[in-house]
Amino acid sequence: MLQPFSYTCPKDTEEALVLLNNAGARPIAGGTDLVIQLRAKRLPSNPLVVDLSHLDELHFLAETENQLKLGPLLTHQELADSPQIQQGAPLLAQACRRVGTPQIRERGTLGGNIVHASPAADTLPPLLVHDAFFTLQSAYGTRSLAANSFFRAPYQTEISSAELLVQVSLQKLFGFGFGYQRLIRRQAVGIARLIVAGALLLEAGRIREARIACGAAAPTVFRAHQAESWLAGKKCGAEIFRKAGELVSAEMIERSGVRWSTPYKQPVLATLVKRALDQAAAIANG
Amino acid sequence: MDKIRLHLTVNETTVEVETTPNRRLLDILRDDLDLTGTKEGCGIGECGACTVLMDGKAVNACLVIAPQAEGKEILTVEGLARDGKLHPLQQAFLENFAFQCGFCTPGMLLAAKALLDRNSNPSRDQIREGLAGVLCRCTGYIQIFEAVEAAAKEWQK
Ligand SMILES: Cc1cc2nc3c(=O)[nH]c(=O)nc-3n(C[C@H](O)[C@H](O)[C@H](O)COP(=O)(O)OP(=O)(O)OC[C@H]3O[C@@H](n4cnc5c(N)ncnc54)[C@H](O)[C@@H]3O)c2cc1C
Ligand code: FES
Ligand code: FES
Repeated sequence: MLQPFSYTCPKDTEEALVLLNNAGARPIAGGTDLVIQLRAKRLPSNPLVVDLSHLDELHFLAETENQLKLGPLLTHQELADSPQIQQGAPLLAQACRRVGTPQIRERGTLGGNIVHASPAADTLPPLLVHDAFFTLQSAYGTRSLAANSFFRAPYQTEISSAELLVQVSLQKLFGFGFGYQRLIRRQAVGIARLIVAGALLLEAGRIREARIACGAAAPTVFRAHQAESWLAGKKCGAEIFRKAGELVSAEMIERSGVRWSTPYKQPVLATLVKRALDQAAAIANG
Repeated sequence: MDKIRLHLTVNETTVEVETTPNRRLLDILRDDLDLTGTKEGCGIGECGACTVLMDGKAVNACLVIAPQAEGKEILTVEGLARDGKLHPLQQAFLENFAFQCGFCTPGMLLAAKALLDRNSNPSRDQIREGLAGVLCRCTGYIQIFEAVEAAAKEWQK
């Protein structure tokens, strides 16, 4: 039995936002994270569950010249299958294809993945690589936050309980090659142990721009800025990518401190970074 | 807690159920509608024993709160056979020894149906991926993959 709750099914976003002003109100999209919490009776007593799942206005995929605009209700399956995402944000398509199981991918949404904010959430590293920003709306107004400053701690973000995530905007990256690496104990159903999403823009064999985001490595997803700027201007090559991996591992330790898992994660993260950059370089070279 | 009235179509029959919101589609199927073919293993989305089709998509019935099933079409294992004749997937599972204890079978069948509805000629890898959300502790999976391949051949006829 799930913990007792009241349920409401607003007719549009506006009504949903009014309902979210009630103390104890909580949105539900696919429910693949929230139902687990309701089952463990972990929400404050008698929450008001506000169902978003049928709101078409939060379920869209639009494209401008430089951006992809995604509705929070897009499911992992839809994102993995979308030719626009495969083209414009292949890292995100690959990440979504690896989420959970087919059943979880049919229900789990982009918005739920972001707001639940597990350090191991699969969509987050690709979103950081694309300099995503999130549009948050409440009954009183709208604001935009960069994905990079949205995550405060594991399962904690800047969103307030009266706000909805209503749009995710990704910058398109033209001419980049992409690489994605995910380490997990069992392929289906498991929490990723480490995720690396990388992108490289090359010019005459040299790196014009590098982007590297890591998931499950630190309390929150992060961009490895030190390694990124170290890579800029360097010639592509195995030795350079190996060194970049070491720099990313050092950044991980700066962020999370030395833990029981560090002796394992340090070399493994470095290797995953190298592999992701190898992949990205191969694609960027066409 | 207020009661709500749910209207859903289960195995092509429309039903109306009165329930409190804090129940799962799985509870509605098993306890209210007596459709106990759908199993509960883990209750947290990991084993797939509770897999049913909702509007044609494979979902974990343990993760769908009852009110979210309002207006939906549900297919459970009880709805697979037609006019006393087994569904081609059920027939293939029988002929290929694709179950032992049978606990995973309803979920496997529906996950396989969702797969074949999308792709009637899946490779072995696509079958593995399509069924990755249902655990089987008995068969070692090989006979299940073979059954799905056999059913796919029927499907294409
Ligand atoms: C068996 C299993 C395997 C899983 N495997 C993976 C995996 O491999 N990788 C991975 O990343 N995740 C995984 N997950 C976690 C989960 O499926 C994903 O995080 C999913 O994307 C959550 O989306 P949802 O729509 O189901 O969220 P919900 O459960 O509906 O919501 C999650 C949280 O977000 C809030 N919320 C949802 N939408 C909005 C919105 N628009 N605005 C504001 N708040 C909102 C809810 O209030 C809730 O707090 C797994 C879960 C299970 C049960
Ligand atoms: S009971 Fe639903 S997945 Fe295990
Ligand atoms: S046949 Fe026993 S769990 Fe699959």
